[in-house]
Amino acid sequence: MFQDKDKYHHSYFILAGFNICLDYIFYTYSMGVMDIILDHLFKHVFPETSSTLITFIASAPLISASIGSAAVGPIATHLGRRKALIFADPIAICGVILALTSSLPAMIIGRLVVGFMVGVITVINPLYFTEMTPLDYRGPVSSGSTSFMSVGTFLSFMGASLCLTIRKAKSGDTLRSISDISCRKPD
Amino acid sequence: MIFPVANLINFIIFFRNDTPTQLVDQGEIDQAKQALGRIYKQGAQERLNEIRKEKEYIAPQRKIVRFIELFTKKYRLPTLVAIVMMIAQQAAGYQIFSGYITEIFAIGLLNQASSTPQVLTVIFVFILMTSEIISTFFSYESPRKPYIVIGSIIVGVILLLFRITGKESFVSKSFLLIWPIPMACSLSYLPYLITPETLPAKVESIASTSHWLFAFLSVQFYPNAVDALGVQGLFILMGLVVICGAISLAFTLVETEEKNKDQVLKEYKDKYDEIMHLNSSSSSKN
Repeated sequence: MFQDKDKYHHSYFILAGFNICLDYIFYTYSMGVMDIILDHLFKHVFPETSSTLITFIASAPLISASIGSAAVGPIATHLGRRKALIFADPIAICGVILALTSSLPAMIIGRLVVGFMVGVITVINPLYFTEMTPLDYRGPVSSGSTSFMSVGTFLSFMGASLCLTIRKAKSGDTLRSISDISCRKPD
Repeated sequence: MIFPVANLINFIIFFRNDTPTQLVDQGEIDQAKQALGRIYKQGAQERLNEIRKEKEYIAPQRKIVRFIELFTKKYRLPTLVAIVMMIAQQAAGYQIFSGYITEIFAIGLLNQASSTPQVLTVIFVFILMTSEIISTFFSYESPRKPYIVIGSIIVGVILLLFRITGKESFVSKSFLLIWPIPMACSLSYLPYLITPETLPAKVESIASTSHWLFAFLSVQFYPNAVDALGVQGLFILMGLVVICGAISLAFTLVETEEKNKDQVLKEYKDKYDEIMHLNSSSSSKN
């Protein structure tokens, strides 16, 4: 694949690709895990929440992601790709932590924050990586990196299945779906 | 929490340059040259000159194109095509399946304690992941139109077969396990490749924005749709929408492989004029 050894510093843009792929895995994994814990929270922590609110909370990251990807133009132009990537990760990590708390407003804010950052990242990551990659490799490498989103989704499902197996082995509970899974035992 | 912490490794980016294009945009030419020197062993100066030329060429266009202009004659058809692709993507179940696939696999199971739905879900997601990784590497150098049209039709047929074979049967669930393969070759990735190859740089994020917007709508209204139509009724509707989307793409989508944006936009404009001419001639006959 990398035939032009004398032409490019391959290690430099491979490292950039590693960053980007890790980012994709992190964001899709976080979205998956947030959805898995959501069902447990509504059953055991907020049992009186209305079904309309539950559906809205479940889809809240998607609407904030659409706002995030629409806002990415000014962010990429004024803040720059590198700074946007530097700020995105800690903000998203705070969002994930908030989304996993047992306070309803904090959880909603956390999910909205993570969704917004996912919207930003899905546009800024390919932009950064495309501009950091030599023209010869730009197409296949930048398009291949986006497929790591499905790796994150797969890992979140695998993690959920693992939790289910452990829980079954410990308590013999009968759970029907992955969205019923929680690593904690119900109160 | 392992993954968020592991992701802090991305702070390596703190010690890296911004992209050469961004640095040229900001007028920091020396830093742009330095950044290019880290990527190119030879020819960094030539690449810098190319970027500066591209900027000079694109700058006047960037000032002109705004989101509202996507609905002018020049961009109307490519914008509609981008939106149709995103609607077809969601109708194919792209977001719904990632949220509800285990519940769909669990429909009709007599033994509710069975771990079959979880096993099928993991197999489903694994097939999706593998297909997406393989397809993204070859799709870049392949023609887009046949893949997206034929792939969408196959996805639509799979959704209809789910209804015909019965939601509780093993066969119908097996059909769903095939779903990721045509999906990965068509609606999963190609809309994100085709839209930036057609629309101006400043508004190409419309693909991502409309993807998230339609994803929100599909997840938000999925429970209501299941209540109203049932799972099988919803699958028929989804299959029909995807097939209609594929047919409309067959007539309106312009092949973008190995063409620049000006060529693609010109072909769209000709196609739009042709459609409008057909409409006006048929209405005058009536």
